Amino acid sequence: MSPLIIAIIGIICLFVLIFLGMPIGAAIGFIGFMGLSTILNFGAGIVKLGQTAFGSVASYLMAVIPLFILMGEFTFASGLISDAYNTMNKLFGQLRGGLAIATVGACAVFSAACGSSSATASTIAGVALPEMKKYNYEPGFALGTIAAGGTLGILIPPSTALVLYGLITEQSIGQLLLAGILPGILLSFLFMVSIYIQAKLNPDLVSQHGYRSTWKEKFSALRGVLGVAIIFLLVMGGIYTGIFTPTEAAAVGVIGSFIIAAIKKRMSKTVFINSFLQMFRTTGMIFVLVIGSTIFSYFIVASGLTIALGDLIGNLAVTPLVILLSILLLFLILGCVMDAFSMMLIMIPILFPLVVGLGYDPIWFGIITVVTVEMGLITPPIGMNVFIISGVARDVPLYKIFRGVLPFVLVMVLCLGILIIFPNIALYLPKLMK
Amino acid sequence: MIYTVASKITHIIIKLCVWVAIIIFSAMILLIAGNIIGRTFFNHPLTGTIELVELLILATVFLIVAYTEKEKGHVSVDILFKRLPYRIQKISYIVLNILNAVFFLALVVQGIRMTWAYIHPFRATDILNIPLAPFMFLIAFGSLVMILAILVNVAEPTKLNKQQNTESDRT
Repeated sequence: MSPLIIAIIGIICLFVLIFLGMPIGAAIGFIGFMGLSTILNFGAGIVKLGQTAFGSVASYLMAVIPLFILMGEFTFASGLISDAYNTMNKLFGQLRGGLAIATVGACAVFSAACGSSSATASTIAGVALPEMKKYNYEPGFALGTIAAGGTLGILIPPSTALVLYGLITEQSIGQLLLAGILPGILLSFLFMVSIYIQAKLNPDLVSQHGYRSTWKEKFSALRGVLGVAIIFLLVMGGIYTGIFTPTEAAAVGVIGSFIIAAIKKRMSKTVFINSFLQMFRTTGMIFVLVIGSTIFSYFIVASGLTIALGDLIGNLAVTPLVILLSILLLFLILGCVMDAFSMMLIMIPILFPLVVGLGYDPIWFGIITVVTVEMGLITPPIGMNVFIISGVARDVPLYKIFRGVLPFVLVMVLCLGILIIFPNIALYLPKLMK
Repeated sequence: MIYTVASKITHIIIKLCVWVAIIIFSAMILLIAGNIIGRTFFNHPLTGTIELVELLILATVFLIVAYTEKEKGHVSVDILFKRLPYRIQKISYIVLNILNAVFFLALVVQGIRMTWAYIHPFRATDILNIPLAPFMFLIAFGSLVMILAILVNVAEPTKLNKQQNTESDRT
């Protein structure tokens, strides 16, 4: 049997195992190991597995992932999200749909200190939902806003998804994180504009009376985002100026968020340990995925599938843009049924060489990929953020939340279009760093 | 009875691993911070920080991988699984967990082989001369605890009913 056929059978078996419910990290690793053992031999396969387990984990750069997760946990514990929400509420509350706009603003601010999308969504839900309920916001619209706002968590740095992309494609993590800033701001702005337009077109969605505050209150409210601003400047400023490596910046971010939580008297022994446990839970999952996907990518490379795929697509009479859009569509479909990390770790090793071969910038492609993955977080049937939000507001049917989310999905498509037409939005800051 | 004892022992081992991992990871953060302070303020970075961080992150990961399994933190998709008849679900659940365990068993075997290979001849890190064999052994040990956690999860009597926190992990 040719290696190419083995690879195709392997990929089919992988999806069968995944959809039957096997943990994705182990499924990718198992297929990668078995595939490699079939193409080479069992001895070579098991040696490569051991080398991969050591080589892909014992990496200075890989330490960024748990450090950023822990930083997010400490930030979450310090209650910065409610401070950020109060600030945004005072800044935007008087606008039509102001509470929803404030929610997106708070998500964007919180995302600057937390790389997790579901953490952002679930945390903001606890703060913003009672306020929007109080002002009679339509539940589907309110929850849709929260679910969509939460997706900003994996685009605005520090983003674990971008770090992971950088590690599997061997791109500069510092540049990738910087590249996420402007698209993150753009997407937040587009979300806010869409809320305003929705509120104008359908006044029943929102309350007629928002939260009014004086200019003095607005200025003094800015103190609420000071904590996040300090963490963000420490981390991203350190990376941008070259003072810190990404790993060092993440460690500094952990210490900074710990100190802020301690100053706010929100850091106790229980909070400290729980933050670690939550970080361990996520870290274990991500690293098994990383080991699995690394051995899987060795299998794919050994089979010659990427070269064959490149040749096949190179011979197609279509433009690179069509191929790029097809890849993004594939990401979106897979993102609807798989979680973001798994989808990226399976597909990026296969498709990345192809995209770079077409002449696209790898940093830019990382941003485009993450925006597409974000869409998967709020589209049915497995819109993870929607399910998390649904767990917070059990009285609202799921279909209503998905309906509320739909305009935001369209906004994300628009954002994606803008980033494809104007790639410099993503590449401007990384170029300055060079 | 056997299940209860095995489950208790496994959970104690996992708990101990987690505590050691908390200490290791905290030490790693302080080490990185110390290196920055040494470099910035005293023009004297801590020698071997990078290779030490690499080993500490390896140790942390293999100490906590079973904790993730215990907490059902490894992501899975159950779209197809939920639509299967109950009996098929049961069989498929057991088979998939065996495959899961086989993957980690391969890591146990290779981890032990690498431990031996790094003892004879003795191999250590380039700068600090830290022996690598204990870290290779941690790969085998962590994977073994992971297998125990998988088996305990499979043997849990009511496991199938509350199976998997599908797609509920943080992204």
